[in-house]
Amino acid sequence: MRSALLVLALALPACGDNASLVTTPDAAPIPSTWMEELAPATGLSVWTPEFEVDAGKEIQDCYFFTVPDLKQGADLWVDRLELGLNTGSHHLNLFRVNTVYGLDPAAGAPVDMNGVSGTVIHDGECWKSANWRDWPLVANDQNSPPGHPVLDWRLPTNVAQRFTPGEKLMLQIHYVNASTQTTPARARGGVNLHWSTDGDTEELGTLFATQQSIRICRSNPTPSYSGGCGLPAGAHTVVAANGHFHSRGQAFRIYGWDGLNTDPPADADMFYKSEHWAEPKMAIDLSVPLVDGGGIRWTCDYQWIEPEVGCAAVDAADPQHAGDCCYTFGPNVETNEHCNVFLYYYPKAARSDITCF
Amino acid sequence: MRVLAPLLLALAACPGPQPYPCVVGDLTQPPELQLVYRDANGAMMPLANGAMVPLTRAPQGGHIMLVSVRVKNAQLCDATLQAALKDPCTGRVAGLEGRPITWTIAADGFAEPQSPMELSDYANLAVCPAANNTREIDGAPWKLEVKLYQSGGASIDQTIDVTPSCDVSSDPESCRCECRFDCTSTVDAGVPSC
Repeated sequence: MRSALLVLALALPACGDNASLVTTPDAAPIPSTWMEELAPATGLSVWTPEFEVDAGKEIQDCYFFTVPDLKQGADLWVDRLELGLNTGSHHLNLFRVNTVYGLDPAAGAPVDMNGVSGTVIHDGECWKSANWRDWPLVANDQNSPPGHPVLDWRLPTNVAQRFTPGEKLMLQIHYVNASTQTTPARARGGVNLHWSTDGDTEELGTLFATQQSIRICRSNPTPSYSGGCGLPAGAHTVVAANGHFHSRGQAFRIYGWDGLNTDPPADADMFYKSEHWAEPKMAIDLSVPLVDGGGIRWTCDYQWIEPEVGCAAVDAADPQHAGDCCYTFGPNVETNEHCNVFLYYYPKAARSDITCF
Repeated sequence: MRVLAPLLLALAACPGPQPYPCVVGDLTQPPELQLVYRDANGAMMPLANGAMVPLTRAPQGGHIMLVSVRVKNAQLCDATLQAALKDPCTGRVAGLEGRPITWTIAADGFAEPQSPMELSDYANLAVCPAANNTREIDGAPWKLEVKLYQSGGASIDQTIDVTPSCDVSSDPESCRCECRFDCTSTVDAGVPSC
């Protein structure tokens, strides 16, 4: 297996100075191919600097940058996204900045992101999800297997995402180097946004949903949470989706829904299932038509496990202080849990991108 | 022995150290379901047909209705509560949520949420904003459907009329905006008659 991996890794073309080495605990370093830098006429490359994640630590940083004006104020359309994460990442999320609550781009430290100037807020307010409660999702990625740090996502024919010059975006990356996930080498995240050149007319829309107030407790070790979210009237097609939970997550399922039926969703309506919390499948090849006036439903099934960090740490993070070793809603991989849906569809609903929470 | 069977069932322990019995009451009797909601002060209140239900700001944003149940003559282990807010005209669902409840047995023999002050023992019914909504939510009549799924899939259902309200929200202005058909508009969509 190791030999096969090495052969595969060597067969992957290195990418000039962008090739770096990723180490795994039981194998020699694997060449890891990063993205190619895009010329301004081709797209925008926004890559964070590389950084260390100390053992036992989780880092969540929010990088802010501005969409450039390249066409005399005209909107820019993107029909291909490359999402890059060095091994060890928990997630990368790209949002459009909307109302500024506690997470203020202006309060960040200046940072150079591969030639793109911006600011970064390290930890602190970047951990508090209420800060981006009305920030529309652009894209996300949770996969960073050794040797394959880049997800190359080409949108369907005639579909693209639209950006307005001057619009502020936030690239959030979360790295873990602790018991449930490890970061074997230096961390980095980034995106390549490829400008569309073929006159795409269908705008991609996004949907971000999350279950709040969830609890996975020792006394009730196999809970399941579920939700439903409707889209505005009209025909919509899902093109990509993924689910996000932490290590207690057993199965994440997403279903098409007619927006009317409240009986348990049928297997026949399921279009996404993940049983791998650390590297959940990002389905980018979907073509799922939703019922006009319908939407999606989802379920998150959990199995409580003895925490690697001990119940005292988990109890300390429980706002109810129940003393039942409950993993509760939140971003910390070791002590919290999530049940988040990231969904991509077209055409974009007239009003805005969709949040369900 | 036949007489003892329900009792034995009632005494059957849940898998794991669950702090409540797997059965409340007598399974040979019809199930009894009482709807409750969490008020603005965090108290559990009975939810009657036609009642006003407060919309509460959720931790990550948006406004939610907090709805739960008191139940008797039912199985509790692996039970899941599901609530849905439905448009009375079209039947379209503006919000739907399902979750387990941690129970305690009250003096009147009903199982009820163990932590009525907490959000986690209520369905967190996210209804504002709702992308598919075409009518006003705040102050308008809606149908609330509540189902308690017992292990095995059988459910105890109840549907009542409710009026979600931003009046006691901690930020009523943003609540009303989120509950409007189009938050960017200052004009209410109104409450169309069915």
